[in-house]
Amino acid sequence: MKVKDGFMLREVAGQWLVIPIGERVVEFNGIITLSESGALLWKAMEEDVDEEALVKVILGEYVIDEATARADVAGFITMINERDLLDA
Amino acid sequence: MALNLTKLMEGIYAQARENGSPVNANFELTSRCNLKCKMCYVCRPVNDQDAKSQELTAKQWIQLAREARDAGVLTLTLTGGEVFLRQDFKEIYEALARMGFILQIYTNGTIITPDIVKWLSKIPPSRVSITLYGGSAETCANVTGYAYAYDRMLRAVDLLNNAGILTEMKTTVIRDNIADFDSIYQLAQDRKLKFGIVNYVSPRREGSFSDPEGCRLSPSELDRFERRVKQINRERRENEEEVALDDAVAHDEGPLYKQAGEHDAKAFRCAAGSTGFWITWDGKMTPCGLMDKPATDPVQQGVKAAWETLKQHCRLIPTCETCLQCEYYSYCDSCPGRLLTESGCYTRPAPYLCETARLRSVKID
Repeated sequence: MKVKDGFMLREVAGQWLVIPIGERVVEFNGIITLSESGALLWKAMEEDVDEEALVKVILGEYVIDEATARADVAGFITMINERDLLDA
Repeated sequence: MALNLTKLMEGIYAQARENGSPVNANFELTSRCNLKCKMCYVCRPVNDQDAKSQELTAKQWIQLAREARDAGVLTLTLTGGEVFLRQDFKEIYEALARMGFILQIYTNGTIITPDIVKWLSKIPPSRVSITLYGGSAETCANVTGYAYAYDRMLRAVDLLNNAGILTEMKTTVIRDNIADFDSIYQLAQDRKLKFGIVNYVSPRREGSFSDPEGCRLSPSELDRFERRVKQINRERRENEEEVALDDAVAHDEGPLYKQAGEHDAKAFRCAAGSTGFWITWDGKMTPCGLMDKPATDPVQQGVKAAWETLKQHCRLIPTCETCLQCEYYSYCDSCPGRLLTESGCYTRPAPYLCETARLRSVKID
């Protein structure tokens, strides 16, 4: 599972943003804002990863229980999938 | 995840101001232009070899953009002169379009061809802004020196718009084209395009053939014109875009710094020198396009260091106390850049701005 190419994750003045670049602007002319944990997941998903690996990323960074981490990861994947940002 | 862009930018600007990081930059890629607009503040002939030899190279602009991005810049405007005059514009643009900016292009549109639009539509900017200088070929010729400008500008607007590239129309109002305003506005309305007006014409920044002060509206003409724009906005239909009074060079930071009556201790009322900078065609970093000082050297120093030095210089610019105490201050567009170009001094009020503000304050039923 991987996010599509043609997006750049940037932190601008404390705000995490995903910005379409180059040819990607044709189909996605906007900006995505992410929370800090969302940015962490997005960065991990720039490479091909599975859901288990994403849960570990969250657990490695935040002091939360595994069930909450799993729910957060699942929610994030659903959200970016709905916006057609996952590589097919 | 879904945030209105204006709200998002307001938050980013507020935080950037706290951090002292730049968010907004303008790259003035060339001072050369194929038109000879009477009111232009920077315009050298197309084949001015001296100017051409001093322009930064494509490689330098790309390096500056990379450094600007790493310093925090999000919105980047490419302006001139006329940017499409540069033979290497494509090289510069393609590199910048992949760096993660909200990128916009200011152009007069007259040398935009179908091939350029075809290329641009594959990696589109966030917006292309084209300034139309008249409602007819005759008026355009009076303002720009060339009768062909009118057809070519409109052709560019239509080519870009039809290619799905977000396009905005602007006009700069001077004595020579004010009678055409309604027809220029109608051209934008017919195309359902965002329309902006540059209502302040500055004395020129550097030597050129233009004569901005000789052709700009007098304070009373400007006041009448602004009231007309307000009337248009009051009467506009729901599906029509609001006409925005704009600025050719200021950094647009939304409403944060533009609230009438907001008296701030700092001299600048816009983002210049606090979250925005300008880099001139020959590589000087300045607070905005009006000002040729203070200036730092981003090519030698690097963007981050040049920005830090520029901010320090900007903090030392005094506020005009007479302006601050003035009863018309909230109606006035005075700022260090305008005071410097109008009166030659940061702390000396400029009669043109004073009279315009006084007239704006007069309530008319």
